Amino acid sequence: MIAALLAAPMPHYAADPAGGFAAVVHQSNPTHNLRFGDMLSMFEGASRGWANGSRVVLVERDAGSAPFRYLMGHLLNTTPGEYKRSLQNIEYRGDLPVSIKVLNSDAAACQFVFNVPSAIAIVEAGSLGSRACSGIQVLRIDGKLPGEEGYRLK
Amino acid sequence: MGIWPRLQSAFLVAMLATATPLFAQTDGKDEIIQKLLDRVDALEREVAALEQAQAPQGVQTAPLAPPPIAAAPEPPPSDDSTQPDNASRFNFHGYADADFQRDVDGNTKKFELGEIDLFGTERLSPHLTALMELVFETDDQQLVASVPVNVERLLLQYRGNDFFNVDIGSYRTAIGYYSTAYLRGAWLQTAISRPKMFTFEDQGGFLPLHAVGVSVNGRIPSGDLNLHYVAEGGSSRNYGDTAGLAVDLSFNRATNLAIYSQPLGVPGLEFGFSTYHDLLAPAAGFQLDRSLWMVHFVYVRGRVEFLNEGLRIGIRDLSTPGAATGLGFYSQIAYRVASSWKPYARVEYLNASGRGAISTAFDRQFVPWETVYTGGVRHELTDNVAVKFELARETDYLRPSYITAAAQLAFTF
Repeated sequence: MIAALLAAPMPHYAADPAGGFAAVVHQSNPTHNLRFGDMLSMFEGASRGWANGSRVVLVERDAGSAPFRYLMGHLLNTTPGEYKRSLQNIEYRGDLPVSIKVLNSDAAACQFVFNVPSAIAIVEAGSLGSRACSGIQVLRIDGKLPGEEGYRLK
Repeated sequence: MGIWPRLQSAFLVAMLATATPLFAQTDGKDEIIQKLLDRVDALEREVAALEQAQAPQGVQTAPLAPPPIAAAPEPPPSDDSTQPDNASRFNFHGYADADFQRDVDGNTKKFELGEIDLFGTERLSPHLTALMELVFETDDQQLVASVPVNVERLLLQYRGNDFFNVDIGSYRTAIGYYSTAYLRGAWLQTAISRPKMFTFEDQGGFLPLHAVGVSVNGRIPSGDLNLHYVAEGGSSRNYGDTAGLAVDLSFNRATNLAIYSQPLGVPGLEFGFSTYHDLLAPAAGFQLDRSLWMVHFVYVRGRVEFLNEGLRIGIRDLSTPGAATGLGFYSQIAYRVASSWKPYARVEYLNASGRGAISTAFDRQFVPWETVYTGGVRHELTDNVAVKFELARETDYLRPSYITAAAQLAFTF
């Protein structure tokens, strides 16, 4: 029973979209390639600045959406409750709070990234073809773009 | 689309267009971003309200700022579709808990209210933040109408850059890891009880967890080792002052230096040390010189929480021959199973000995415990509420070993 519990997957996180996911930033962001670990650090709140010194604004999808489930279950290996606890803990330790904007669609997330130069969002790769996501930059993760061999956000 | 939404959209586009060059400037960049975020929020609300008002008349929904959103099949963000972000100037969090405890003698079984912790920060300018933390110690109240109120922290924080920041006021000393990570707030910490060595000063703890003065902190250029420093100077709270024995030294020269690493290659790992020195007077007639060394090795990431800390404390009496030393450690491991259960276990050990006026027997009046074994489980009921169950077995020098049990409902608001 203990072994089953230890190995149990998180039940809330169902199958991911076949196309995978993409990290998007503002067109003017000078960062075009991000290490996978650095991206995780941003969403964990451990790293809160871009190379140009501007403060990272995290754009997350609403709970229950595929990008949010992917972020919690696959990228951060945490739960919404524990994620909230770890972010509050950063603030409680006296550091600046992590800036997060939660939006209810990939289109809204893309639009927000379009408007805020230091924002980063994770959206479904399938949404990149929409007009809402046309004016923003898709980040390379470890040098790879969505759809390329070895791309890690899938 | 009505004229007002058009004007709002046009204003937003113009504002963003004029603001873009400003982002090339480093100074004030965060403030500009913050203002933009606030402004976008405000405009979203206004546009949503106007759209809602015009919807019955069959007016078509229009784009907010850039054209892309017009063709999006999903609705544009509005107050209904966005959750409040935490980037506003004022941030507030509250923590509280209700407990049931079976105490030392086994006969005391009672419900009690834990602490109410009110934590808030206000960003005064791009570089200045005010932080205040108030604790209503309802677990220590003696009378119904008499709840001790503790100003846990009151700080004016200067955030210069990654390498130089200053906190002035009442701060928690950066000794070890647990004290700074989980000072108060039952919901924040995994277990119900704190490691015994981190017992608060006003509850008989021997570590100086609080001080008033200046704390300077930041990163040390060190590549992937990602070193950080904390240098503190001030006056500590006096040990044992609630026992009515204290004699405050007017100037107790509390200094602390902490260096720790958060290696970039191993996210979640932190290790380091701190060295603390001050003068204190735990009882009338004593003027003690206290030195404290602590090391920690911590890994907190994903499902795993692995905390390890060791200490060496040395105390020397300045007025009479006598000295005491103490060696101790605790190790705590927790692992989340399934999606919301987190069992944990902790072992603690402390050995204090002394000579002269600070004899071993005298030491153990203040620090009687030797080992504590703790086990429990935390279950997240919701994102804001957790319930915990815990058993602990403590071995003391002055009385037989005993077992305590506790349950706790901890939440944030």
